[in-house]
Amino acid sequence: VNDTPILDAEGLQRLGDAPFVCKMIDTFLDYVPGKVAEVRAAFEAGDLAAAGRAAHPIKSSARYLGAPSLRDLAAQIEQLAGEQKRDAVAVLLPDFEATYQRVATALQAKRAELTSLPAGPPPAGP
Amino acid sequence: MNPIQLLLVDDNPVDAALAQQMLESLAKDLPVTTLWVSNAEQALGEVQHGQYDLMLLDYQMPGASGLDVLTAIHQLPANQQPAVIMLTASGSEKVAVEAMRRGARDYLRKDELDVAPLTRAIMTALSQKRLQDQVNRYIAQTRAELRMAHQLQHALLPQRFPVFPPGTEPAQSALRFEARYVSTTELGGDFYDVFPVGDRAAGVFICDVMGHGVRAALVTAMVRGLVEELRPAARDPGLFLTGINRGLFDILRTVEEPLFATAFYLVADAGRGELRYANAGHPAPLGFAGEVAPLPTEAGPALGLFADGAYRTTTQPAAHRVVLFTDGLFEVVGPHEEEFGQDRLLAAARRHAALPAAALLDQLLQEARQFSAAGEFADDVCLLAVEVHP
Repeated sequence: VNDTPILDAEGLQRLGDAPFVCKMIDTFLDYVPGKVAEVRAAFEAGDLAAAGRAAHPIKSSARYLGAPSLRDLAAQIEQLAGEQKRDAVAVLLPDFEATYQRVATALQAKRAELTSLPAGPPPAGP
Repeated sequence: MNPIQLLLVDDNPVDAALAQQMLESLAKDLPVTTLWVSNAEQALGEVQHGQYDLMLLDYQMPGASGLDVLTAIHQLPANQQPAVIMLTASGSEKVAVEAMRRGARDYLRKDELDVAPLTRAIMTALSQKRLQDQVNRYIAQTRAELRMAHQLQHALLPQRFPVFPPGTEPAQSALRFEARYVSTTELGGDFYDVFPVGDRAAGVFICDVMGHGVRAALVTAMVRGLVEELRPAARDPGLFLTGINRGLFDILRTVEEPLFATAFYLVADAGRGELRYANAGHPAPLGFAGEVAPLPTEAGPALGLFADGAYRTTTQPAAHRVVLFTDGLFEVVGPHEEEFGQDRLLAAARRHAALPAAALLDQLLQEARQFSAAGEFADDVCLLAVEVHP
């Protein structure tokens, strides 16, 4: 774990106004966890090509949400998986997953900061 | 200005949301209505059923790739094809080049996606598409007009032949006719006409206007008008061609480029048992009298070239059959660059002289066609048989 911030706050602000940033965070949190899980599942199943394909869309998503370390890790996994370098992917995978968790946590915090509403669906009625 | 109908194709909802946000931010200058779909199958379904001006297409998607979508789009009718801007990952210039080769108008790298380059790409792609649409409409309209003109030109040819003397059963006519007309382009410059010049005499006119296309077709129509106008002189072939030449020269003298037509005019006179004819630079028809041979002719200049062109009438005893044709029949070129030529045509006519007229014409067409390297005529062909039954 290094000291650089997991989220580039300016990057998020560049996206647009608060409602749009919230929408992008929601979209990210809805879509990316599935892809992270897909990378792991494909890797465990020995399908490195599929792992690389699953990592691919995480790159741009992470970049847009201002998460450069996640973007870089996704790019490395995509490339190494494409080259069938199983051991190298195995080394990166835990770091990749941990980084995703940090990004997700930071985004949830950011979302809470931007709005008083909770990130999830509205609570059920009384 | 109607909003641009845009189809966004991207499996990644984060990327799609951002692109949509950018597109919405353009609204003031470039109103866009966007529909987002997340895979190739949905994209093709939308394109087939909607009217999209533009498609932003992600290259890398699970299942069919962006390149597959591009290929499928370009098999659709032109008016259903949206202009495609390919979205590529960084470092995939090869993909971008391949996308352009398959018909994408432009590409954008996802890591450089921003409002300014997006606007530029959209404007460029749309203006290209509008230009292409205009060209396509123009081509379609021109084709439709040429087809119509082609039909009209066929209507200029005799739809049935006269009988001699009038009122006779066609099978008993003293003069009988068969014709074949093969046009290779939409519009041709070949023309023939058959009309009575007496109870037992027919005027048979064949001509070939230089070149083909609209110009040749228009000149053909003029010649037909002159043939109608000069019918009173049609008993005398020399006078008749002299008159047509004079009329055509007067019309064509105002045209900058030289235009001319070769023609042969024959009066087949079953009553007198003779052929009277005159020639304006046209290939000599084949006479079938005992043996098959070209009719001896004294060829004058082609029609439309000289104001004072004069044409003399030649008179011969009637052959039982005359075959008139245009040069497209023998100017076919074989696989070794040699021409079918009038000698081979004459030899074929001699070999098949015993065939009935219709079968003979088909046989001559078939032999010339088989001789040609392309298996098809390069020019229009007109073929006309006259049979004299005194």
